[in-house]
Amino acid sequence: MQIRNLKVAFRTYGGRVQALDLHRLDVRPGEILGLVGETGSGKSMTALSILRLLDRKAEVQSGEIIFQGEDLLKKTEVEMRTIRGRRITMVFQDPMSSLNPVFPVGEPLVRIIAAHEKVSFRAARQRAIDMLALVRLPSPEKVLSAYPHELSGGMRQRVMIAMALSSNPDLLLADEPTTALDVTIQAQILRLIEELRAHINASIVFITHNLGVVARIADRVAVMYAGDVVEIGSTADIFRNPGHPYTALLLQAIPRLGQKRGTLPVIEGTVPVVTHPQPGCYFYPRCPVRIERCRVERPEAKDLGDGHWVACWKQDGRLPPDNSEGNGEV
Amino acid sequence: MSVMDISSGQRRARLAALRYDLYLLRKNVLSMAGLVVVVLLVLAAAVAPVLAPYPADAGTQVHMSQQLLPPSWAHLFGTDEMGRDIFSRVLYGARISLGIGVFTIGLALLIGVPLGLVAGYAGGVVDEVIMRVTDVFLSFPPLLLATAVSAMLGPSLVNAMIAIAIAWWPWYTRLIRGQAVSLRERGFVEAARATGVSHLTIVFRHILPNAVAPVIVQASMDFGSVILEAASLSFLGLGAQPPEPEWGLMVSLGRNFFLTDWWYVTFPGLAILITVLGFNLLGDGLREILDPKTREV
Repeated sequence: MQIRNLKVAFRTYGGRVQALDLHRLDVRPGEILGLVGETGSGKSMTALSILRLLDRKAEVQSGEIIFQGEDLLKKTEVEMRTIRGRRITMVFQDPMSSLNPVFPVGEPLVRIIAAHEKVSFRAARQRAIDMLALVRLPSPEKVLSAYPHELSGGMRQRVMIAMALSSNPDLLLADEPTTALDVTIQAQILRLIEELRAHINASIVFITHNLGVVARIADRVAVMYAGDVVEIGSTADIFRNPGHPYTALLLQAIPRLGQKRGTLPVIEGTVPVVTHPQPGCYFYPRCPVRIERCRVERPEAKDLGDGHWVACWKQDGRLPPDNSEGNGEV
Repeated sequence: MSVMDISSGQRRARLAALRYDLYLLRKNVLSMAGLVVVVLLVLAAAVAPVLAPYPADAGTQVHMSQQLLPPSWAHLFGTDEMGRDIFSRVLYGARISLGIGVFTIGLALLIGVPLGLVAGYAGGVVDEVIMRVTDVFLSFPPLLLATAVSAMLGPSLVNAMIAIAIAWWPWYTRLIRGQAVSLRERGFVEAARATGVSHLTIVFRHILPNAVAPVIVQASMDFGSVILEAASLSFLGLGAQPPEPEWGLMVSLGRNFFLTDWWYVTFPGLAILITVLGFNLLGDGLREILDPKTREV
């Protein structure tokens, strides 16, 4: 899947807010792409744009989202309905609210499978049980007829994952699927996703603000800032050799085992709300290595080799040595 | 609860929850009284032909020799100006009143609920148009609107029921719209959209079942009001027509004899009073149980 020059704006009382100005994002077949960034950087917006499920106040201004050779933005609502839940599926952040409390959890699952594979409900039910077993739910047959409130958060998220995988999608959008779970369950769900990679051939876009999660499961990482991808590359490249100062600062802000007590470095300020698009780099006000050019001219993405792209005028984007002292003691 | 015994345990748990609801209802004397009245009314309507001493009196039967007899063991509630047994007529009237309640509320729900769901889910212009239309309907006093519609359609019981439903549906639209507006934002609606479910399916399969509880309470409370309204229309001559044993119509016909033969208006009037009271008490009780804020242990 390829996204090119996607611009999405929100109409608000305060004027038009540029939520996405995404120049370029590719998802390769079968890979797990980690999409990271702060709150408000446009991660979820990107996923919702792909499924065309944006709020009615949002407006896609331009761009294209090419999925299997077709531009999703040119599809009609009816055509999109045959793509959603079949070729592209999504797992949401909060498993507590993502299941309808009035149905047994198996009901939508059986329905999806029956509709997708055009089999009888009886056959679909068996497939549903298989799917629940695949996501390592104990006694899948019992879970099938359980109501959401009878399952724990981790179990519900497993059900959601089973639902998202049941139609054998080509692309799975996972929007912070582990954020609402406690850490031990997070680890289980991540392990599950790693295990399932062998069973499915879907590309996965894994949205998170947790870099530790990304380091563990992603093949490649895209870092978003103020509605655009500022850096993309293999996970190893991003973590060992960040090309953008924002990425470098994010990495510094991860607490590490064995780290001496002290203050974690923070990135001062917040992601700007773009009401009036500026000519320069959106990270300019917070950037420790900014130069005059950054204020007046938007940096274009440059290839550092091996598919490692960075949108920064200071191409290597290294932080000056004195900035890393944040790890020190108080 | 362990996963192992969900389906059997689940059924048992739900049964226990239902029994607990019944216990709460029983604990409240007034709502229990309401429930008793409603049950008795349904029973009376069901077995009216067996219970009524003079079933034929509910129809066109006339006994000129027995006009306006006071209550006695032969005629518990006395007789009317045609010599008909008022007790039998009141019993049969329970059938008509229950029918009015079911039909009118049903029709009002049928109009009001889908419109409210669509307004709340769609939002925007659709919402605005539907809600302003309900405002127009709600700006009339309900009895006046029903009277006007009934007069337009012509006087008959069926037309009266249609007229009342037309005056009544906006309440349900408002109620369910509010529910739909908040449910629309819930995660499972977004999740359903993401699996390619159509808007129509979302509205009726996902939102409606989550939105009905307050509507059930409101409808049960409205039962009494609707019966009262139909009786009023019949009293005004716009509803049931003679010789139907409709309570409001009986009161209307009996008012000519009010000063001399008190039993003629009193018993149908009491029937209306007790029925309306019964439904209101039951509705109050239901609301208290279904609303977590007023639910007591």
